[in-house]
Amino acid sequence: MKEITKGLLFTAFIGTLMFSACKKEEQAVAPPVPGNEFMTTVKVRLQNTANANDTIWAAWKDLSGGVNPPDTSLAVINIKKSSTYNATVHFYDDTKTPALDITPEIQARGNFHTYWFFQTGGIINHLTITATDHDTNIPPIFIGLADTFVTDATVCSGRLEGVLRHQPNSKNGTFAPGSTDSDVFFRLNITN
Amino acid sequence: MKKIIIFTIAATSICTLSFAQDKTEDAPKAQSFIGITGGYAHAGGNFTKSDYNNNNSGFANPSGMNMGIEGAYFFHKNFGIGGVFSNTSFYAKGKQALADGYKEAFDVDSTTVTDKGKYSTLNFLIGPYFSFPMKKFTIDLRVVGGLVNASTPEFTTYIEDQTSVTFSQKSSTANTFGFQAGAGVRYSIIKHLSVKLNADYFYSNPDFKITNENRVINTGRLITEYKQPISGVCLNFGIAYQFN
Repeated sequence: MKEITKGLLFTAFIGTLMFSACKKEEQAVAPPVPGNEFMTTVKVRLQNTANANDTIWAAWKDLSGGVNPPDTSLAVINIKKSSTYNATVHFYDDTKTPALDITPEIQARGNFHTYWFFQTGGIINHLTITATDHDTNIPPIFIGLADTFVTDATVCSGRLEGVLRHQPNSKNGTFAPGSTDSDVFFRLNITN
Repeated sequence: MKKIIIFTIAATSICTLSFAQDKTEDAPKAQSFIGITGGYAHAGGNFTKSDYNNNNSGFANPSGMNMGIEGAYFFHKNFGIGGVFSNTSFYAKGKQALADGYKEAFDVDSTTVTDKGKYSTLNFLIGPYFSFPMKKFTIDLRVVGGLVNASTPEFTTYIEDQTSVTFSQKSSTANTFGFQAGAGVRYSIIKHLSVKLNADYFYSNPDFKITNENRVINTGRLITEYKQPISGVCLNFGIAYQFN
């Protein structure tokens, strides 16, 4: 019995010394910040569902990175009243030659991107925009790069703002989470 | 693993046969002992891989440490029953690969991954010991098995400066069967005290059910279950109290 007690005491003493030498650690890793692609150009393509020849391309372009005013000479959308258009939104990097189409990359990352249209001016209540594309979140949430534009019978004009939101691990179908990748404006006219 | 088991069984059998014929009266009896061991553990397999795109990757550092208590009671001059109560642990590694992977997956400028805790197994193993003493030396062979309580570290990923989207892969624990097989040498330095050197193969295959916190969208590496062997070799140095 005395032998066993000695053995246990010896084991406990050495064990205490060894375990007291242990410590927990926490480590952090901060990867380097990469260069971003330049989203210089946003184009919106609209096609009348009743007339394929009625196809419009509108383009907003800024090659200066915000230093100079953007080129909005082509940022005009003329669509007909009482019509339905299928719309798609496209993004390009025009600093590259040829221009780099960034749209597929954004579509592939649709689980944390959303595109929003906001109307101001006379077109409010006369244009209904509905997103038709969805991501693979569970449940799916709209992306907004494909939409339908439905006009009523009123001839009017206003401004259409398009905003691309980047919502990593926060996309929930609302505008608020995340940050803005792109914010552009188009003049929009609903005509006869 | 099979080779090690077969080798251990073969070695035990050969020694049993050879000692069965050793009838000399002054053949010493193996001494029962209890002691502390500690040393290096080296793991392998998917458990130690750091591939972001491979969900079997465990992101464990292959180099770890092992500490424990070992003892055996010899009811025969060569045969005994013993046990090992030990802790084997491996810190995480490859967090840069995780951070890079999440950065790419979420298309953000930067991510930071931190870990808390470590991979750890608490081993409660018992089994037969076969020992043959030679003057001051005693060679021990053992195969011990039993309960292994394993746990994983917690990984937390910060996305840029948006604290509300931080997500975590929580620490998980699982119980499973494990075993250890190996050999050791004891050397008596004084009457009751010996130093020992052990080499063992260890194996367990816990099935971790992993909880993830604040994973809002279906993007990026997401591990909800992890079942890969934790196996390797440990080399331990120890001090033991030997009973008469």
